[in-house]
Amino acid sequence: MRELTIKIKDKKRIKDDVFLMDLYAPEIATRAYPGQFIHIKTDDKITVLRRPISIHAVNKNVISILFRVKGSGTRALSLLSDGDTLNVLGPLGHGFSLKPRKNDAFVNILIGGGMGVAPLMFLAQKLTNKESNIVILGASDKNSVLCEKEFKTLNCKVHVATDDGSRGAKGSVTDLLLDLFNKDGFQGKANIYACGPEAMFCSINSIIADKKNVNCQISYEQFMGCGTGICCGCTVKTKTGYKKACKDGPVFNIREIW
Amino acid sequence: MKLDVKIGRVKLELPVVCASGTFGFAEELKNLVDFSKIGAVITKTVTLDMREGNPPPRIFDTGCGVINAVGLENPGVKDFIEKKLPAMRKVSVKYIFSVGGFSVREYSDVISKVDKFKEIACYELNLSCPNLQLKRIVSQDPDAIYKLVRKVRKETNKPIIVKITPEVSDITETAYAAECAGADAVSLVNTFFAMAININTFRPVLGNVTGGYSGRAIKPMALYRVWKVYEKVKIPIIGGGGIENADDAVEFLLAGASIVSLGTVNLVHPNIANDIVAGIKSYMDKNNIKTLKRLIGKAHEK
Repeated sequence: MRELTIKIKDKKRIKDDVFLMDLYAPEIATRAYPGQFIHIKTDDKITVLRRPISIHAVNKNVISILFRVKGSGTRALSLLSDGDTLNVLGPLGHGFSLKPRKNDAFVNILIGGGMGVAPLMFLAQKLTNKESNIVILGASDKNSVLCEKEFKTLNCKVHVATDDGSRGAKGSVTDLLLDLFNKDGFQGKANIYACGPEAMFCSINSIIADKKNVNCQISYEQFMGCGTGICCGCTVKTKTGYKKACKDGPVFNIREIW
Repeated sequence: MKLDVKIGRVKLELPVVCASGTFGFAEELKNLVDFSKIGAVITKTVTLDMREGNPPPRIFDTGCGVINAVGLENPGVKDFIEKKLPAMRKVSVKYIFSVGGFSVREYSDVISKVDKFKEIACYELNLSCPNLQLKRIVSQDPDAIYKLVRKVRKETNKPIIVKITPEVSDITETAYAAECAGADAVSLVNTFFAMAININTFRPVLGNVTGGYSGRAIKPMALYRVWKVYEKVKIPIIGGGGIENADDAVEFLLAGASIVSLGTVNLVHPNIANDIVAGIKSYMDKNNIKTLKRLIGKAHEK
């Protein structure tokens, strides 16, 4: 891991406040694995600290990030243009474990609530047996659904839930998850990979609480300082004490936290 | 050009150090940082027993500074010796060991346990953590500083640096108390009391409610305190607060710091000491200043 200056190859506004940015970064592209992030320094006049952004996808020498303009850091990032450079540290963090279970009967379920979809595309790129991967996307309405087409291109089975029912099922991603377990069951065997708001993690946890053969990894967000484990700023409360989102995470086993 | 500087009998090859809490125990950064350009690393503060630290969130970027409330999370002195010290030996840099505690006794106890290790060149007594929910910080009280430093002075022959809080009406009194008690240097400033509130949730942002402010926003206030302390004490000053580049560092040297400390900036650019050392050298070249001694406190010349 080094401090790198990388170039913005392509910036696209894909929703009102959501941007997809392709960055030319061979050093990161070759070493990153799903669930890891890059730590970006934006305009010094606007931010002091770096901002952690998960790696959304990797294609040869190019990494992509997908972000919503939420605060000063992401706003500064959204104002940059093709050809501009970014100072980054990365790849950082402990990402998703892709180790397939010995038994192929396990199905992969990727759950992205809102912007939580960001790290899951890279994961879907890396998971084998893509045909059997299920992706559940949640959004407030049909205009806010992210990456549905892209996951289908990777041959994933995509289910969508929107709060107002304007696309897919009306309700939440966890309603859909519960449906899947009730209908299909997968004999209770599944690997869940999830990213989204805390309330979503809470309900996933209650759905799988009694399912011993369901493993669930979540990507957890926290205000972050250095990104390298030294400042102890991005603490996450787990059952075995405080851990660091930047180094022990951002991916944790859901049962470590709830 | 030689830039070496002394704290007591210990010589630092360069007058740039990494402040406690912003560089871990150095070994965590061994693949990222060129340690040959760092005068010393001041370790994360170690207390007698391990401390879990404060509840999250612990850190917040205001856009012009950083508020933190880590609360001295650290492995405790036993785990420090068993787990951290062996890894630190693999990094070639001078270490200043930062000690924290809740009583005079605790400072002495920690030092007595680590004093035999030659890797530790000096001690920095952290008498200024703002995040401990105490009624008063030791370094707000000149008498308390004096008593503590006198006692600790008897425990070790290694140089003692006293890190003091800027949150006093007259920082020259607290710095002077440290000098009178036998400290070899004073280190200033620690963070300023601060907080942030999330207007959408109506709640304070930090888990600890309040925190300590650092980063570029505090630079003028920190510089003022170094200036004042320089007029009062004879021992060297480790000065810092919001330094981000060589020009900032030079300002602190001109104000009277013998050594500059980098803090918040390390969290963003862990290798910045390299640039800052190079920048100090080229500033001295350009202004025909041959020795560091000529630069230290130069702004006080009339």
